[in-house]
Amino acid sequence: MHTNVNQAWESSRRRFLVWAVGGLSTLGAALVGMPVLGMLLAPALQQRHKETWVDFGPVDAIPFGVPRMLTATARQRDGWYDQTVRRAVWVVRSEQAGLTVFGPRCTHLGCAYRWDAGRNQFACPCHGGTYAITGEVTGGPPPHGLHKLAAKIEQGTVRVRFVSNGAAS
Amino acid sequence: MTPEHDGHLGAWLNARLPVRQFLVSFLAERIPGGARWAYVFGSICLALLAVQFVTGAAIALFYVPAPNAALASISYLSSQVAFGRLVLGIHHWSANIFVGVILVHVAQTFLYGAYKRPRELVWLSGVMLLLLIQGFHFTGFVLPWDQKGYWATEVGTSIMQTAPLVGDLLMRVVRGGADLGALTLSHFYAVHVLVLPAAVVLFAGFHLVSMRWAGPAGTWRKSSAAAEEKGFFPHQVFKDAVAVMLLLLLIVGLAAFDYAPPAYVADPTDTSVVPRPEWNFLFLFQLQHYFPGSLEWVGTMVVPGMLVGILLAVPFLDRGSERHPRRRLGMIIGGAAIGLTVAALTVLAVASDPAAWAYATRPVVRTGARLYADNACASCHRVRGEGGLSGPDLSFIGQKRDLDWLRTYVRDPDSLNPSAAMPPQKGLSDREIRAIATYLHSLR
Repeated sequence: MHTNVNQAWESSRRRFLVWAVGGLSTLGAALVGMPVLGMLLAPALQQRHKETWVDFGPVDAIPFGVPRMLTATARQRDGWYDQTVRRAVWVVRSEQAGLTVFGPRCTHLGCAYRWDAGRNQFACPCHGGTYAITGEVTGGPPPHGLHKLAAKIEQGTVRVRFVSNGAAS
Repeated sequence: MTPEHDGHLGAWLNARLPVRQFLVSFLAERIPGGARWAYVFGSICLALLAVQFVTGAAIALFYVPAPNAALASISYLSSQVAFGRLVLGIHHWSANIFVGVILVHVAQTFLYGAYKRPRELVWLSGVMLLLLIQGFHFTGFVLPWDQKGYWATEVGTSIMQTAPLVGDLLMRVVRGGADLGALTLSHFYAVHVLVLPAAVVLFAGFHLVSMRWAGPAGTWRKSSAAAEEKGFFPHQVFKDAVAVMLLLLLIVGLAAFDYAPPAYVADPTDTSVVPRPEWNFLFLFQLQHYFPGSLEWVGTMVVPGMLVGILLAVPFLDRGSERHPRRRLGMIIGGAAIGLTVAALTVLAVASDPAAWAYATRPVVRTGARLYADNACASCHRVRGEGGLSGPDLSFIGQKRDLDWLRTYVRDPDSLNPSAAMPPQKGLSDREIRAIATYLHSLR
């Protein structure tokens, strides 16, 4: 009888200890694991779109009706890395529509295209994609027209907006 | 966890690999004399090792081992990434507490005579683990490439040069060249994250397996050893889990409230820095004072080498079966003498730097240092190579000014120097001003 009581007590004590060990281990793992998990997830979940306006020089230097490639350098924060990057855009200036700015890459696979003055179209050398001066696809594999970038003219200077969704501030 | 209930997966696994037997032999071990709070230190070491692996891997995802990028990547992690600072703090505090826990674990094993036959291999692998953890500290301290880490490593690697014959070569191999630089950083990084972790896993595995094979030593009293034999699981594991949990709370608390990420990039030309190794290498640093000139290598090589040799030899010096400390007085006195000497050398090293001594012994100085950091004093003033240069260097201000002067000046600089550029500190209470002045007064 006495041993039975002892055994029952001993086995419920044992059950408690097993549960306590499981609970404490989980808590301990969470205490260290949560900050680590947070550190990995936070940059990944950050949806901040960061926009920068890059100067591309005086608007008066751009002729009407003839696409021009403009280049500029800009500072860009890439994580901890503060770097200087070269930006390029194609600009079309017209009397009626004002300034249209295209991203410099073909929408097919990202090759750099050029202006074919003879055929009056943008042409990609990689797979023969072609675009009209308005950016619409006129031939070849590109899935859609050229990327248009937001632009404005401030005090005679062309400024183009670049958007990145990097975690950097 | 309980080996006696296994479901389908357990049965399937067990038919192919005797998992149940492994678990039983690892967990259902009997401890002579029963579970005790005194036995938690080995498990704490294992838990802290896991903490260091997890936080270390997380930090490595962001860290770059190059002089022009290391501190930038750490600063980015601590200031721009959520929880980055906390994880860096956990890695830092856990590393330091780890050394303390290992020392307690070693001292206890020594006191209990738990290194005796058949547990010699457990002791030997334990000594290796102690050395590996010191290796982690030595290689990890330089990684942020900040002033403290750079200069401590400059001193630490210069010591290697004192070794007879091969000293210079040894130092060049470790540094990856004659000078501390980019190659030193990538060398130390590779050792810290590849070589040492592999070695520590190997030796920790060996330590655990050899300990389990021989079984825990338990109490040295033969009568109580026979009286009670509680199992390792769950009785001892429960005590271990409670102890680990309390220590983790302490570590996370310290990381949250008492951790300043490295902030000042290494400047090899700075002469105001007083280079000092980390606290767990200070006894070696102090030892050099007693072996000047041509005998330097005795202090830097022979004595540390002998210390390691003695540690490794312990189970072979004390071979009787008697474990009771009172019947092993020779060993106990010898061990205590070595331990106290190391402790005394550490205290002497701290005491030899008045500022470090004041910081270690006077809470008001620590409060002042905290307030100094919180109030952006360091953006203008430099203390031992850390801080801005637009205000005067305060590294040794305590030699020049008395406490009252400093107190008046911190509150209202214009009252003592009408052309002072420093703004008055109106937002601080009298007590806070006094703490800052006391901290500044301790810098000498």
